[in-house]
Amino acid sequence: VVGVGARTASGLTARQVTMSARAHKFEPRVSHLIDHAGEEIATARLASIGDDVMGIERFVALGAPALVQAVYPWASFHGGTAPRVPVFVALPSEMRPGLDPRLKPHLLEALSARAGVPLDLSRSALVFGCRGGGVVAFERAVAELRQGNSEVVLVGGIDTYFDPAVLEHLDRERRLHGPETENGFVPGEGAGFVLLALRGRAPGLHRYAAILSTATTAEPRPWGAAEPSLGLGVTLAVRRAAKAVAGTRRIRWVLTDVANERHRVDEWAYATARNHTAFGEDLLHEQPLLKTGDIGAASAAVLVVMAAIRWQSECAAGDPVLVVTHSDGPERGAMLVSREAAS
Amino acid sequence: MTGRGVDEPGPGREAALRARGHVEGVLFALPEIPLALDRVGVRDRLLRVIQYLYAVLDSAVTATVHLDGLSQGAVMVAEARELLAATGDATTLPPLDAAIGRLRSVEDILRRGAEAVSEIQFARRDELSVGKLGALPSARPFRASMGVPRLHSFARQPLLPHVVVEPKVPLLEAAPPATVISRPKSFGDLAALVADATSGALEARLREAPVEPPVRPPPEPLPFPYVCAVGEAEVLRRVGHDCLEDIANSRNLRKPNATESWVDQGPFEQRLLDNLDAFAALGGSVLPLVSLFHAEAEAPDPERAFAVALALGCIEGSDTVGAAVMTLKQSPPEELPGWLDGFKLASSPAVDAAMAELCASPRPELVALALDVLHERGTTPDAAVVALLNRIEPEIARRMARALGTALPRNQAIEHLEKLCTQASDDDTFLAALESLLLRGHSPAFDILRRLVDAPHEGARNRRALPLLCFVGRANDHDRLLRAVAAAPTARLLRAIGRFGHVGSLAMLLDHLKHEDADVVAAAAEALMRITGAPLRETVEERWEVQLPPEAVDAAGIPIPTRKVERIVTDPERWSAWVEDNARRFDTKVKTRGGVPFSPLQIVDEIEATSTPPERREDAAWELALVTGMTFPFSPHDWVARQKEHLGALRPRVAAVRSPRGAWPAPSRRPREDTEPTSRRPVSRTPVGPAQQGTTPPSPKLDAQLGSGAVPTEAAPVRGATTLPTPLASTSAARAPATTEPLSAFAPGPALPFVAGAMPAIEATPQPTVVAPAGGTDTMPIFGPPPPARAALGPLAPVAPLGEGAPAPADTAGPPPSRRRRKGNFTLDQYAALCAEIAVFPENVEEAFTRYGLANERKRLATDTRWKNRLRQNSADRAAWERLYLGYHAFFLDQARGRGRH
Repeated sequence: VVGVGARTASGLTARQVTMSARAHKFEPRVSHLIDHAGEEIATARLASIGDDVMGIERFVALGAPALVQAVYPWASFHGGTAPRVPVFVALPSEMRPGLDPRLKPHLLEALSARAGVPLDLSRSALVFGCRGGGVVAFERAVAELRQGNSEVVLVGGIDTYFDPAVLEHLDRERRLHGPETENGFVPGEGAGFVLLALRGRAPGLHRYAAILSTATTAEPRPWGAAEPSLGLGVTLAVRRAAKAVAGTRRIRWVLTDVANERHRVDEWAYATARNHTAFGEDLLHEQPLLKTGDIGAASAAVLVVMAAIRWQSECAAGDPVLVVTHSDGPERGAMLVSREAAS
Repeated sequence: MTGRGVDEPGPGREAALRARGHVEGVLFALPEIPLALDRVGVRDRLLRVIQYLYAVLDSAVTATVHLDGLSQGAVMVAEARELLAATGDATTLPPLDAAIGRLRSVEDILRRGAEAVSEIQFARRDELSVGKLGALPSARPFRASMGVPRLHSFARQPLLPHVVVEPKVPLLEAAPPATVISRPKSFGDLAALVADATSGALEARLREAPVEPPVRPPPEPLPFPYVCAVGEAEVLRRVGHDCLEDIANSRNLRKPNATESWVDQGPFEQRLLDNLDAFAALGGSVLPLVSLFHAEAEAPDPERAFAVALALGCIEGSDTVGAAVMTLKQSPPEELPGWLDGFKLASSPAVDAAMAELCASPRPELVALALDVLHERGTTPDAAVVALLNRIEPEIARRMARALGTALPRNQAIEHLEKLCTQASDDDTFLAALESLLLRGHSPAFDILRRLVDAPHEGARNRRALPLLCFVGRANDHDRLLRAVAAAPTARLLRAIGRFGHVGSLAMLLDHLKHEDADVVAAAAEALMRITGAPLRETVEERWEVQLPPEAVDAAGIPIPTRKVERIVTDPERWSAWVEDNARRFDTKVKTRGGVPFSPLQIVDEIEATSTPPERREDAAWELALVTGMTFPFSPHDWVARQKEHLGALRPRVAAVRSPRGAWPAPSRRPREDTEPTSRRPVSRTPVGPAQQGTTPPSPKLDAQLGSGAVPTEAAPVRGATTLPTPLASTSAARAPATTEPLSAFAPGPALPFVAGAMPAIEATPQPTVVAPAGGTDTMPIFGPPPPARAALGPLAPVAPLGEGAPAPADTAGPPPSRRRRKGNFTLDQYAALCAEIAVFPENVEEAFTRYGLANERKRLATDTRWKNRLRQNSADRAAWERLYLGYHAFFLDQARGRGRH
């Protein structure tokens, strides 16, 4: 990882996002949208983006600055001669109500134009897989990098729940945190981007972290299934990701997208128990999304960014860190990320 | 603005300091001018002057920026003066006239300073270096604060302080609307503007019609554009404001409440630091918010002052600290405690320079604050002390007396301190000077102190000097102190008697257990415990201190919740019985603490113990300084992480002081500190030599109560020699406190009257223990409640004897059982040997436990508890333990003597 960028309601840069979450800065704001009880819905959303900005406009407003942050060190190193960069962007599931149909055809071009970064659109892709899809995007980015066609690859995620159709759907499903649904989540929004390079192929750039492994699986009983989930999908993802350090190191630090919802808490609890041999006794499970609001498809990238910044600023809770994400759908993902010595 | 400060004196620095004072004066006087004027324009120019002056102060005389700052500052001052002069007739408006006059002085000061500097630079032209006005410290990688605040440095604009310049008085005329002219973009534009302005054409045109700013063509739209709801800087300000609020709230959160210990502050401090880091991560755009955050308070708010001082004091650069100081100068006196707390905890070295400069303020309360901050940070510069020696304001003189305890070379300091003692009419100043003299090891000060104690007519001075004598007094001060207690017993004095440590005081303290004042009774019990280390604690239900709402009070109250706390027994009969049974253990010639001869390490234990209340930690730290003569950077008000670090460094230093156990303070033998005058800075000192012993005979009163011969008189001040346990008297077992906690029944704190049990049950973390020889039921191995890292028991590996082939203990089958280790449980033999070794060599306690394989605190505590229970229930084992203990104790004493340690 040689570049990081992020943006959430409580921070405009990777460092601000990380340090704000560490300091428990979280202040959801009420909106003009009304829930089933007639109450104003509060979300953790960026104040600089107006409440009338929705759909692809909001995605671009969130994603472009984070993308610029991630690519800037590399781009400035190359001056005006930087080659085009492939990018893999995790987005919400296509099943999500109200998802702007313009995202698929226009988002990458819009990001490129807004960020002023030449993207290699022919080798870029959008991954519509919600939170778990974030790890899928990393898998694809790593695969692209290993093909050797690109010096660097951008990978990230953008998401926002601030859309009447989405909020109405979540409210109907009683998933929004409120007096009647204490284990609901606070909808948020954000974007995270990471610039990946093969070790030794990015001289002169700060090396934040190394992706040791990625694993994605499909949960047979996702949210909404008739039978309760036993956490098999995420268990398998964790097991596969943890293999990278099996027998050499125990994992003591985990960052997950678990943000209060009972089914996600349960899934993670099962996965922890079933993979207990991979974890140290002093395992620390951090849930930063409790301090940013649920940031959906941006979760995986933002969690990697947070780990990278925590290592850089010397306040990390361990090394390596396991990043785990769960979608509402079947996508489950886990990544093992390690601290990388600064170049 | 490096924040590092260049202390090299010179005409430029002197001019900058003088000029800055005047400029600040004009800034603060602007609201008094009753005219419509461009206040913001004047303010901004004057703030720019201050920025230039920082460049002068932060640079050497050979730096070009040193001269530029003075020159540019003079130009900017002239502009501000012109603006003021153009607003009205100064001769009819005294505030305006005064402001113009001061600015004229500033201009003159700066120009003269610039001339002097230019001459120096010409003479030293080979040494010239460059610099840049408004230059800031270079950015460093961001690092998070862990335990203590980092000094953050990031790319930013210079910070100009927020100064309120809105008029406080009714204006005499309305303000004209501001006129904006377009900014020149090329040299051609600039030349045209100059010509336009100097010819008067611009002024004439402006009078006729306002200039419309040029209309720029709209930029080409990007795909999917949107209009920002608020600027992104505003987003950051909101987060920043949230951070500042939490920093402000943390000022009080980090102070332990009644149920917490000093280490319990740690998590709150980390939360504070997380907010500090989050604020710093927001960058320079939020820095101006800090002063505004302070200004938005509707009433004096020390917490906001704390947040301003700490937040700006952790950003590198003298401009940030300067902005905080400017805000301080505009704040009400009620906020001074908050400023003190914030500045003393801040990480920027620029705070030291700013406080040293603040010492030159004409406002005594600000000088006092500056001296307090410097004292707490341990950075009081000699120059500031010298400059203030003639200030006679009581609040300054008092702090100067305190500062001289460590500042200036010893002889010079003593000279000033003696003068203060002689001339001070203020009790605080006198006592501070006396304390500093004692800290300096000045022998005549002890005589002054004794004379004061012998003079009850001195009133307040006498009362306040008494505890001081308890800290530094010797055995022959005992009668003097007893007389004082008899004349006017106070809780503070009785507690100090406990620190004095004379066992001849026991009878007097027992008497005071019957006093009508509950505070006096509690203090007497605390003193008894501090001296004897008796296992007399009891668990009681204590009511929470809650303030009932009026309706509850009207309804005859409601049940107040209670909590279980462990307290020292205050029952006179139980204490009398215990003292009677154990009197033979004590020696009036030995300064005694916790039932054993006093050692300065016991004070370190007390400071480290989580059971010690905050105010006792302050007493202990002060006692340590007086007893050892050491200066050290430890402060009980510091960050917890730093306290731990300092205590870790302090322990071996104190352990290295080769003072005989039980020795009374001996000022004449205290090493002098001529080479290290800086306050609270660790110094390496010559170890204190053997002190003379007190000669006071046992108290007749105690004799009368305990029976003739109860107090041994032959004991010499040999480590542990007077503290061997004696067989348990059968009567004392029957008197063992029934309500005492099982552990504490056999684990009195030799040095600490406070145990973790004093906290509520939820606080009851296992306490490591310290072994000390004792006797009675109470002659079980006495494990004190003490410093976490120091001692505790666990499964024992055999004791390693101090020397191979050493003579075996008289009453044991051989040397300590270090070579007789066996797997499985600890043996009685091993337990006795370990207890004895630790009693004789308390400084080696960790090493001993390590040799015994006591890997962790839990095991130590488990073993300790198991053996205590067994010895309490089985008299045969108890007798065997005592026999073994005595044998090993004698063995180790021989070892110690053989090494010449006593």
